[in-house]
Amino acid sequence: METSCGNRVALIGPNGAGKSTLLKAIAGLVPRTTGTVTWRGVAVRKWSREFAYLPQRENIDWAFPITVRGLVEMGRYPHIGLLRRFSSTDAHAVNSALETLAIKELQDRQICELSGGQQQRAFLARAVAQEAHVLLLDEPFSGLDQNASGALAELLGLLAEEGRLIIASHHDLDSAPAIFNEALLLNRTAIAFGPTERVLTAPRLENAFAPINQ
Amino acid sequence: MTAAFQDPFFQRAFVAALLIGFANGFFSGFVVLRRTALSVSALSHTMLPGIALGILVTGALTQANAFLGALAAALLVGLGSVVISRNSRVAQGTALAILYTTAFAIGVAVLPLLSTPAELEEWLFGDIISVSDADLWLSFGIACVVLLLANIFFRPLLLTLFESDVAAAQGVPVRFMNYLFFALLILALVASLQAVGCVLSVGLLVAPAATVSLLTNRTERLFWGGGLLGGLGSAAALLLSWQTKIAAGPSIVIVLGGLFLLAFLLSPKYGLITRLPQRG
Repeated sequence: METSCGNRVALIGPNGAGKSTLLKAIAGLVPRTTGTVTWRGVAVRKWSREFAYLPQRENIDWAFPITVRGLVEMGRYPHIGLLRRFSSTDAHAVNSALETLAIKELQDRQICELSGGQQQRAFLARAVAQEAHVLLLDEPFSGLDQNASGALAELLGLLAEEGRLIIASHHDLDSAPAIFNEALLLNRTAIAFGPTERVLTAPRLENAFAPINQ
Repeated sequence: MTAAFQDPFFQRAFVAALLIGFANGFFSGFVVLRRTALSVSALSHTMLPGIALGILVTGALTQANAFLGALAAALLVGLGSVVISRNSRVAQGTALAILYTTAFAIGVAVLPLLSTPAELEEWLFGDIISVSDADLWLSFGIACVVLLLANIFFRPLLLTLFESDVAAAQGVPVRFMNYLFFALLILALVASLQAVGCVLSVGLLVAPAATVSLLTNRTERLFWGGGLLGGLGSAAALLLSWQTKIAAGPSIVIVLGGLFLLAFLLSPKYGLITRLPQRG
Protein backbone atom coordinates (compact mmCIF):
# COMPACT_ATOMS: atom_id res chain seq x y z
CA MET A 1 0.00 0.00 0.00
CA GLU A 2 1.35 3.41 -0.90
CA THR A 3 -0.22 6.73 -0.17
CA SER A 4 0.83 10.33 0.24
CA CYS A 5 0.23 13.40 2.33
CA GLY A 6 -3.13 15.08 2.05
CA ASN A 7 -4.98 11.78 1.99
CA ARG A 8 -7.46 10.37 4.46
CA VAL A 9 -7.12 6.60 4.57
CA ALA A 10 -9.62 4.28 6.27
CA LEU A 11 -8.61 0.85 7.50
CA ILE A 12 -11.69 -1.30 7.17
CA GLY A 13 -12.26 -4.91 8.13
CA PRO A 14 -14.06 -7.13 10.63
CA ASN A 15 -13.06 -7.41 14.30
CA GLY A 16 -9.73 -9.13 14.61
CA ALA A 17 -8.75 -8.25 11.05
CA GLY A 18 -5.64 -6.48 12.32
CA LYS A 19 -6.63 -2.82 11.96
CA SER A 20 -5.28 -1.77 15.36
CA THR A 21 -2.21 -3.95 14.96
CA LEU A 22 -1.44 -2.39 11.60
CA LEU A 23 -1.70 1.11 13.12
CA LYS A 24 0.58 0.09 15.98
CA ALA A 25 3.03 -1.48 13.56
CA ILE A 26 3.23 1.75 11.58
CA ALA A 27 3.70 3.67 14.83
CA GLY A 28 6.48 1.27 15.82
CA LEU A 29 4.73 -0.09 18.90
CA VAL A 30 4.75 -3.72 17.85
CA PRO A 31 7.65 -5.35 16.05
CA ARG A 32 7.13 -5.46 12.30
CA THR A 33 7.73 -9.10 11.48
CA THR A 34 7.13 -8.78 7.77
CA GLY A 35 7.08 -5.70 5.64
CA THR A 36 8.56 -2.27 6.10
CA VAL A 37 7.26 1.23 6.61
CA THR A 38 8.83 3.72 4.26
CA TRP A 39 8.52 7.45 4.85
CA ARG A 40 10.06 10.14 2.66
CA GLY A 41 11.79 7.38 0.71
CA VAL A 42 13.58 6.00 3.78
CA ALA A 43 12.61 2.93 5.79
CA VAL A 44 11.42 3.92 9.27
CA ARG A 45 13.50 1.97 11.74
CA LYS A 46 11.36 2.07 14.81
CA TRP A 47 9.48 5.27 15.42
CA SER A 48 9.39 8.75 13.98
CA ARG A 49 8.68 12.13 15.49
CA GLU A 50 6.63 12.84 12.38
CA PHE A 51 4.15 10.08 13.29
CA ALA A 52 1.52 10.61 15.97
CA TYR A 53 -0.45 7.70 17.38
CA LEU A 54 -3.82 8.10 19.10
CA PRO A 55 -5.02 5.07 21.06
CA GLN A 56 -8.65 3.96 21.26
CA ARG A 57 -10.74 5.98 23.67
CA GLU A 58 -11.20 3.16 26.17
CA ASN A 59 -7.43 2.73 26.44
CA ILE A 60 -6.99 6.26 27.78
CA ASP A 61 -7.01 6.97 31.51
CA TRP A 62 -9.49 9.86 31.51
CA ALA A 63 -9.19 10.39 35.29
CA PHE A 64 -5.49 11.30 34.87
CA PRO A 65 -5.24 14.82 36.32
CA ILE A 66 -4.17 16.83 33.31
CA THR A 67 -5.65 19.87 31.62
CA VAL A 68 -6.31 20.16 27.90
CA ARG A 69 -3.38 22.54 27.59
CA GLY A 70 -1.13 20.18 29.57
CA LEU A 71 -2.10 17.38 27.20
CA VAL A 72 -1.34 19.43 24.09
CA GLU A 73 1.99 20.51 25.63
CA MET A 74 2.93 16.82 25.79
CA GLY A 75 3.10 16.98 21.99
CA ARG A 76 6.12 19.27 22.36
CA TYR A 77 8.08 16.83 24.56
CA PRO A 78 9.85 15.14 21.62
CA HIS A 79 11.01 18.59 20.48
CA ILE A 80 12.26 19.96 23.78
CA GLY A 81 13.84 16.82 25.20
CA LEU A 82 14.48 16.34 28.90
CA LEU A 83 15.41 19.67 30.40
CA ARG A 84 14.86 22.53 27.98
CA ARG A 85 12.15 24.95 29.05
CA PHE A 86 9.13 25.73 26.90
CA SER A 87 10.19 28.41 24.45
CA SER A 88 7.93 30.93 22.75
CA THR A 89 8.05 28.67 19.66
CA ASP A 90 6.62 25.82 21.73
CA ALA A 91 3.95 28.06 23.27
CA HIS A 92 3.06 29.28 19.80
CA ALA A 93 2.76 25.72 18.47
CA VAL A 94 0.51 24.78 21.40
CA ASN A 95 -1.67 27.87 20.95
CA SER A 96 -2.08 27.41 17.23
CA ALA A 97 -2.91 23.71 17.69
CA LEU A 98 -5.58 24.63 20.25
CA GLU A 99 -6.98 27.19 17.81
CA THR A 100 -6.93 24.85 14.81
CA LEU A 101 -8.99 22.30 16.73
CA ALA A 102 -11.25 25.05 18.18
CA ILE A 103 -10.63 24.12 21.82
CA LYS A 104 -8.69 27.21 22.95
CA GLU A 105 -11.43 28.22 25.39
CA LEU A 106 -11.37 24.73 26.93
CA GLN A 107 -7.61 24.76 27.62
CA ASP A 108 -7.90 24.89 31.42
CA ARG A 109 -10.46 22.08 31.63
CA GLN A 110 -9.62 18.69 33.00
CA ILE A 111 -9.68 16.09 30.17
CA CYS A 112 -12.49 14.16 31.88
CA GLU A 113 -14.67 17.29 31.78
CA LEU A 114 -14.87 17.24 27.97
CA SER A 115 -17.45 15.68 25.69
CA GLY A 116 -16.40 12.76 23.49
CA GLY A 117 -15.88 14.96 20.45
CA GLN A 118 -13.88 17.51 22.46
CA GLN A 119 -11.69 14.74 23.84
CA GLN A 120 -10.84 13.57 20.31
CA ARG A 121 -10.06 17.15 19.31
CA ALA A 122 -7.78 17.58 22.33
CA PHE A 123 -5.74 14.53 21.32
CA LEU A 124 -5.66 15.69 17.70
CA ALA A 125 -4.40 19.06 18.93
CA ARG A 126 -1.53 17.27 20.65
CA ALA A 127 -0.62 15.57 17.35
CA VAL A 128 -0.74 18.94 15.60
CA ALA A 129 1.47 20.53 18.29
CA GLN A 130 3.91 17.66 17.77
CA GLU A 131 4.09 18.78 14.11
CA ALA A 132 3.33 15.21 13.09
CA HIS A 133 2.74 14.63 9.38
CA VAL A 134 1.19 11.21 9.80
CA LEU A 135 -1.77 10.84 12.16
CA LEU A 136 -2.53 7.25 13.16
CA LEU A 137 -5.98 7.12 14.75
CA ASP A 138 -7.55 4.03 16.30
CA GLU A 139 -11.36 4.18 15.89
CA PRO A 140 -11.59 7.98 16.30
CA PHE A 141 -15.34 7.99 15.55
CA SER A 142 -16.42 5.31 18.01
CA GLY A 143 -18.82 6.58 20.67
CA LEU A 144 -19.40 9.97 19.02
CA ASP A 145 -22.92 11.20 18.25
CA GLN A 146 -23.85 12.44 14.79
CA ASN A 147 -23.01 16.10 15.40
CA ALA A 148 -19.63 15.32 16.96
CA SER A 149 -18.85 12.87 14.13
CA GLY A 150 -19.68 15.49 11.54
CA ALA A 151 -17.46 18.07 13.23
CA LEU A 152 -14.60 15.59 13.56
CA ALA A 153 -14.91 14.55 9.90
CA GLU A 154 -14.68 18.20 8.89
CA LEU A 155 -11.58 18.71 11.05
CA LEU A 156 -9.87 15.63 9.62
CA GLY A 157 -10.55 17.03 6.16
CA LEU A 158 -8.96 20.33 7.21
CA LEU A 159 -5.91 18.63 8.74
CA ALA A 160 -5.41 16.58 5.56
CA GLU A 161 -5.80 19.66 3.37
CA GLU A 162 -2.95 21.28 5.29
CA GLY A 163 -0.74 18.43 4.09
CA ARG A 164 -1.07 15.73 6.71
CA LEU A 165 -1.67 12.07 6.07
CA ILE A 166 -4.47 10.57 8.14
CA ILE A 167 -4.76 6.83 8.64
CA ALA A 168 -7.64 5.67 10.82
CA SER A 169 -9.31 2.39 11.61
CA HIS A 170 -13.04 2.70 11.00
CA HIS A 171 -15.95 0.38 11.54
CA ASP A 172 -18.89 2.25 10.01
CA LEU A 173 -19.08 1.32 6.32
CA ASP A 174 -21.87 3.80 5.55
CA SER A 175 -19.98 6.89 6.66
CA ALA A 176 -16.56 5.82 5.35
CA PRO A 177 -16.80 7.23 1.78
CA ALA A 178 -17.79 10.69 3.08
CA ILE A 179 -14.89 10.90 5.53
CA PHE A 180 -12.08 9.02 3.82
CA ASN A 181 -10.91 9.36 0.22
CA GLU A 182 -8.86 6.17 0.32
CA ALA A 183 -9.49 2.84 1.99
CA LEU A 184 -7.60 -0.33 2.77
CA LEU A 185 -9.85 -3.35 3.12
CA LEU A 186 -8.19 -6.00 5.22
CA ASN A 187 -8.87 -9.24 7.02
CA ARG A 188 -5.61 -10.70 8.32
CA THR A 189 -4.12 -9.70 5.01
CA ALA A 190 -4.64 -6.74 2.70
CA ILE A 191 -7.57 -7.39 0.35
CA ALA A 192 -7.87 -4.16 -1.59
CA PHE A 193 -6.53 -0.62 -1.52
CA GLY A 194 -7.56 2.44 -3.49
CA PRO A 195 -10.19 5.18 -3.64
CA THR A 196 -12.85 4.45 -1.05
CA GLU A 197 -15.84 3.97 -3.41
CA ARG A 198 -13.90 1.55 -5.59
CA VAL A 199 -12.57 -0.49 -2.66
CA LEU A 200 -15.83 -0.80 -0.79
CA THR A 201 -17.74 -2.77 -3.41
CA ALA A 202 -20.34 -5.29 -2.35
CA PRO A 203 -18.55 -8.49 -3.46
CA ARG A 204 -15.29 -7.43 -1.82
CA LEU A 205 -17.00 -6.54 1.45
CA GLU A 206 -18.85 -9.82 1.44
CA ASN A 207 -15.55 -11.57 0.98
CA ALA A 208 -13.80 -9.62 3.74
CA PHE A 209 -16.59 -9.89 6.28
CA ALA A 210 -17.64 -13.48 5.43
CA PRO A 211 -17.33 -15.79 8.40
CA ILE A 212 -14.32 -17.99 7.93
CA ASN A 213 -15.49 -21.60 7.68
CA GLN A 214 -13.11 -23.84 9.49
CA MET B 1 6.96 25.27 71.68
CA THR B 2 10.19 27.30 71.71
CA ALA B 3 11.55 24.75 74.15
CA ALA B 4 11.21 22.15 71.44
CA PHE B 5 13.51 24.04 69.09
CA GLN B 6 16.23 24.31 71.74
CA ASP B 7 16.43 20.52 71.95
CA PRO B 8 19.15 19.28 69.55
CA PHE B 9 17.29 15.99 69.01
CA PHE B 10 14.18 17.86 68.03
CA GLN B 11 16.14 20.22 65.76
CA ARG B 12 17.56 17.32 63.79
CA ALA B 13 14.23 15.53 63.66
CA PHE B 14 12.54 18.71 62.45
CA VAL B 15 14.97 19.13 59.54
CA ALA B 16 14.69 15.42 58.72
CA ALA B 17 10.88 15.63 58.69
CA LEU B 18 10.98 18.59 56.29
CA LEU B 19 13.46 16.86 53.97
CA ILE B 20 12.00 13.37 53.94
CA GLY B 21 8.47 14.74 53.84
CA PHE B 22 9.28 16.89 50.82
CA ALA B 23 11.09 14.19 48.83
CA ASN B 24 8.43 11.58 49.57
CA GLY B 25 5.61 14.03 48.96
CA PHE B 26 7.08 15.00 45.60
CA PHE B 27 7.47 11.39 44.55
CA SER B 28 3.94 10.57 45.75
CA GLY B 29 2.78 12.38 42.60
CA PHE B 30 4.16 9.54 40.50
CA VAL B 31 2.72 6.90 42.85
CA VAL B 32 -0.75 8.44 42.64
CA LEU B 33 -0.59 8.74 38.84
CA ARG B 34 0.58 5.17 38.48
CA ARG B 35 -2.42 4.04 40.54
CA THR B 36 -0.49 1.33 42.30
CA ALA B 37 -0.65 2.54 45.90
CA LEU B 38 -1.39 -0.97 47.15
CA SER B 39 1.67 -2.54 45.56
CA VAL B 40 3.72 0.22 47.20
CA SER B 41 2.39 -1.10 50.46
CA ALA B 42 3.56 -4.59 49.48
CA LEU B 43 6.96 -3.18 48.61
CA SER B 44 7.40 -1.35 51.89
CA HIS B 45 6.60 -4.46 53.92
CA THR B 46 8.97 -6.50 51.80
CA MET B 47 11.80 -4.15 52.72
CA LEU B 48 11.85 -5.37 56.31
CA PRO B 49 13.33 -8.86 55.72
CA GLY B 50 15.58 -7.34 53.05
CA ILE B 51 17.10 -5.02 55.61
CA ALA B 52 17.41 -7.86 58.11
CA LEU B 53 19.21 -9.81 55.39
CA GLY B 54 21.47 -6.82 54.71
CA ILE B 55 22.45 -6.65 58.37
CA LEU B 56 22.91 -10.42 58.57
CA VAL B 57 25.22 -10.56 55.55
CA THR B 58 27.30 -7.45 56.22
CA GLY B 59 27.11 -7.44 60.01
CA ALA B 60 26.34 -3.73 60.19
CA LEU B 61 23.39 -1.45 59.65
CA THR B 62 24.02 1.44 57.28
CA GLN B 63 21.65 3.13 54.88
CA ALA B 64 23.60 1.62 51.95
CA ASN B 65 23.19 -1.91 53.35
CA ALA B 66 19.56 -1.19 54.05
CA PHE B 67 19.02 -0.01 50.48
CA LEU B 68 20.72 -3.01 48.89
CA GLY B 69 18.90 -5.45 51.16
CA ALA B 70 15.57 -3.75 50.47
CA LEU B 71 16.25 -3.75 46.73
CA ALA B 72 17.12 -7.45 46.72
CA ALA B 73 14.02 -8.39 48.71
CA ALA B 74 11.76 -6.19 46.57
CA LEU B 75 13.13 -7.71 43.37
CA LEU B 76 12.78 -11.23 44.74
CA VAL B 77 9.17 -10.72 45.80
CA GLY B 78 8.20 -8.68 42.73
CA LEU B 79 9.73 -11.08 40.21
CA GLY B 80 8.57 -14.07 42.28
CA SER B 81 4.96 -12.93 41.97
CA VAL B 82 5.39 -12.66 38.18
CA VAL B 83 6.93 -16.14 37.96
CA ILE B 84 4.12 -17.67 40.03
CA SER B 85 1.35 -15.97 38.06
CA ARG B 86 2.87 -17.06 34.74
CA ASN B 87 3.27 -20.66 35.81
CA SER B 88 0.03 -21.28 37.70
CA ARG B 89 -3.59 -20.21 37.75
CA VAL B 90 -2.92 -17.79 40.63
CA ALA B 91 -3.28 -14.10 39.72
CA GLN B 92 -0.24 -11.85 40.20
CA GLY B 93 -1.95 -9.75 42.89
CA THR B 94 -2.74 -12.89 44.86
CA ALA B 95 0.81 -14.19 44.54
CA LEU B 96 2.18 -10.79 45.57
CA ALA B 97 -0.04 -10.71 48.67
CA ILE B 98 1.17 -14.14 49.78
CA LEU B 99 4.84 -13.44 49.08
CA TYR B 100 5.00 -10.04 50.74
CA THR B 101 3.19 -11.04 53.91
CA THR B 102 5.43 -14.11 54.16
CA ALA B 103 8.52 -11.97 53.63
CA PHE B 104 7.27 -9.47 56.21
CA ALA B 105 6.63 -12.26 58.72
CA ILE B 106 10.16 -13.57 58.21
CA GLY B 107 11.46 -10.06 58.81
CA VAL B 108 9.47 -9.69 62.03
CA ALA B 109 10.71 -13.09 63.17
CA VAL B 110 14.39 -12.52 62.33
CA LEU B 111 14.99 -8.88 63.30
CA PRO B 112 14.85 -9.36 67.11
CA LEU B 113 17.54 -12.04 66.77
CA LEU B 114 19.99 -9.58 65.26
CA SER B 115 22.35 -7.61 67.45
CA THR B 116 21.28 -4.12 66.42
CA PRO B 117 20.45 -1.38 68.86
CA ALA B 118 17.17 -0.67 67.10
CA GLU B 119 13.98 -2.18 68.52
CA LEU B 120 11.49 -3.96 66.31
CA GLU B 121 9.01 -1.18 66.94
CA GLU B 122 11.38 1.39 65.43
CA TRP B 123 11.57 -0.61 62.21
CA LEU B 124 7.81 -0.89 62.00
CA PHE B 125 6.80 2.64 62.99
CA GLY B 126 9.95 4.77 62.73
CA ASP B 127 11.85 6.84 65.27
CA ILE B 128 12.67 10.21 63.81
CA ILE B 129 13.65 11.72 67.19
CA SER B 130 16.71 9.45 67.42
CA VAL B 131 18.01 10.50 64.00
CA SER B 132 21.80 11.08 64.02
CA ASP B 133 23.82 13.63 62.06
CA ALA B 134 25.03 10.90 59.72
CA ASP B 135 21.46 9.68 59.15
CA LEU B 136 20.42 13.22 58.42
CA TRP B 137 23.10 13.66 55.77
CA LEU B 138 22.13 10.36 54.15
CA SER B 139 18.46 11.28 54.12
CA PHE B 140 19.48 14.59 52.58
CA GLY B 141 21.55 12.77 49.95
CA ILE B 142 18.75 10.35 49.08
CA ALA B 143 16.21 13.17 48.91
CA CYS B 144 18.50 15.09 46.53
CA VAL B 145 19.02 12.06 44.27
CA VAL B 146 15.29 11.31 44.15
CA LEU B 147 14.35 14.92 43.43
CA LEU B 148 17.10 15.38 40.85
CA LEU B 149 16.35 12.20 38.88
CA ALA B 150 12.59 12.68 39.13
CA ASN B 151 12.97 16.18 37.71
CA ILE B 152 15.43 15.27 34.95
CA PHE B 153 13.19 12.46 33.72
CA PHE B 154 9.94 14.22 34.60
CA ARG B 155 8.55 14.43 31.06
CA PRO B 156 9.23 10.87 29.89
CA LEU B 157 8.08 9.50 33.27
CA LEU B 158 4.85 11.46 33.04
CA LEU B 159 4.24 10.35 29.47
CA THR B 160 4.94 6.71 30.40
CA LEU B 161 2.50 6.87 33.29
CA PHE B 162 -0.21 8.49 31.19
CA GLU B 163 -0.06 6.40 28.01
CA SER B 164 2.84 4.03 27.69
CA ASP B 165 1.88 3.29 24.06
CA VAL B 166 2.07 6.91 23.03
CA ALA B 167 5.28 7.33 25.02
CA ALA B 168 6.84 4.43 23.11
CA ALA B 169 5.62 5.89 19.81
CA GLN B 170 7.43 9.13 20.70
CA GLY B 171 10.65 7.23 21.34
CA VAL B 172 10.55 7.14 25.16
CA PRO B 173 12.39 4.06 26.52
CA VAL B 174 9.33 2.87 28.44
CA ARG B 175 10.97 -0.13 30.08
CA PHE B 176 13.86 1.98 31.41
CA MET B 177 11.35 4.48 32.79
CA ASN B 178 9.54 1.70 34.65
CA TYR B 179 12.83 0.52 36.20
CA LEU B 180 13.71 4.08 37.10
CA PHE B 181 10.33 4.52 38.79
CA PHE B 182 10.91 1.33 40.77
CA ALA B 183 14.43 2.34 41.85
CA LEU B 184 13.35 5.83 42.92
CA LEU B 185 10.42 4.34 44.81
CA ILE B 186 12.71 2.06 46.83
CA LEU B 187 15.09 4.96 47.51
CA ALA B 188 12.21 7.08 48.77
CA LEU B 189 10.97 4.21 50.94
CA VAL B 190 14.43 3.67 52.48
CA ALA B 191 14.66 7.40 53.21
CA SER B 192 11.25 7.37 54.91
CA LEU B 193 12.05 4.30 57.02
CA GLN B 194 13.75 6.37 59.70
CA ALA B 195 10.83 8.75 59.96
CA VAL B 196 7.76 6.56 59.83
CA GLY B 197 8.95 2.94 59.61
CA CYS B 198 8.07 0.37 56.98
CA VAL B 199 4.42 -0.10 57.95
CA LEU B 200 3.50 3.58 57.80
CA SER B 201 5.80 4.66 54.95
CA VAL B 202 3.04 4.12 52.41
CA GLY B 203 1.07 6.99 53.96
CA LEU B 204 3.93 9.40 53.35
CA LEU B 205 4.33 8.14 49.77
CA VAL B 206 0.67 8.36 48.77
CA ALA B 207 -1.31 10.82 50.89
CA PRO B 208 0.36 14.16 49.94
CA ALA B 209 -0.22 14.01 46.18
CA ALA B 210 -3.59 12.30 46.62
CA THR B 211 -4.65 15.29 48.74
CA VAL B 212 -3.36 17.78 46.17
CA SER B 213 -5.11 15.89 43.37
CA LEU B 214 -8.42 16.84 45.03
CA LEU B 215 -7.46 20.52 44.91
CA THR B 216 -5.97 21.10 41.46
CA ASN B 217 -6.16 20.05 37.82
CA ARG B 218 -2.58 20.95 37.02
CA THR B 219 -0.21 18.01 36.87
CA GLU B 220 2.91 19.92 38.00
CA ARG B 221 1.15 21.08 41.16
CA LEU B 222 0.61 17.46 42.09
CA PHE B 223 4.39 17.09 42.53
CA TRP B 224 5.48 20.41 44.01
CA GLY B 225 2.26 20.71 46.02
CA GLY B 226 2.71 17.14 47.23
CA GLY B 227 6.27 17.98 48.26
CA LEU B 228 5.23 21.10 50.17
CA LEU B 229 2.35 19.33 51.84
CA GLY B 230 4.53 16.33 52.73
CA GLY B 231 7.35 18.48 54.14
CA LEU B 232 5.26 21.04 56.04
CA GLY B 233 2.72 18.44 57.15
CA SER B 234 5.46 16.19 58.56
CA ALA B 235 7.12 19.11 60.34
CA ALA B 236 3.81 20.24 61.83
CA ALA B 237 3.05 16.67 62.87
CA LEU B 238 6.40 16.53 64.67
CA LEU B 239 5.48 19.64 66.69
CA LEU B 240 2.14 18.05 67.45
CA SER B 241 3.85 14.87 68.63
CA TRP B 242 6.13 16.95 70.88
CA GLN B 243 3.11 18.62 72.47
CA THR B 244 0.87 15.59 72.80
CA LYS B 245 3.49 12.86 73.37
CA ILE B 246 2.06 10.85 70.45
CA ALA B 247 4.90 8.96 68.74
CA ALA B 248 6.35 10.93 65.81
CA GLY B 249 5.81 8.35 63.04
CA PRO B 250 2.11 7.77 63.68
CA SER B 251 1.64 11.52 64.22
CA ILE B 252 3.03 12.26 60.72
CA VAL B 253 0.76 9.74 59.05
CA ILE B 254 -2.30 10.82 61.07
CA VAL B 255 -1.77 14.48 60.09
CA LEU B 256 -1.29 13.65 56.39
CA GLY B 257 -4.29 11.29 56.41
CA GLY B 258 -6.38 13.94 58.19
CA LEU B 259 -5.45 16.54 55.58
CA PHE B 260 -6.53 14.12 52.86
CA LEU B 261 -9.93 13.62 54.51
CA LEU B 262 -10.33 17.39 54.88
CA ALA B 263 -9.63 17.88 51.18
CA PHE B 264 -12.04 15.07 50.33
CA LEU B 265 -14.81 16.82 52.27
CA LEU B 266 -14.05 20.49 51.68
CA SER B 267 -12.14 20.86 48.39
CA PRO B 268 -13.59 23.97 46.68
CA LYS B 269 -14.16 22.13 43.42
CA TYR B 270 -14.37 18.42 44.19
CA GLY B 271 -15.23 18.26 47.92
CA LEU B 272 -18.10 16.05 49.03
CA ILE B 273 -19.66 18.73 51.24
CA THR B 274 -18.87 21.56 48.82
CA ARG B 275 -20.81 19.80 46.08
CA LEU B 276 -23.85 19.05 48.26
CA PRO B 277 -25.90 22.19 47.47
CA GLN B 278 -25.40 21.66 43.72
CA ARG B 279 -26.82 18.17 43.92
CA GLY B 280 -30.10 19.04 45.58
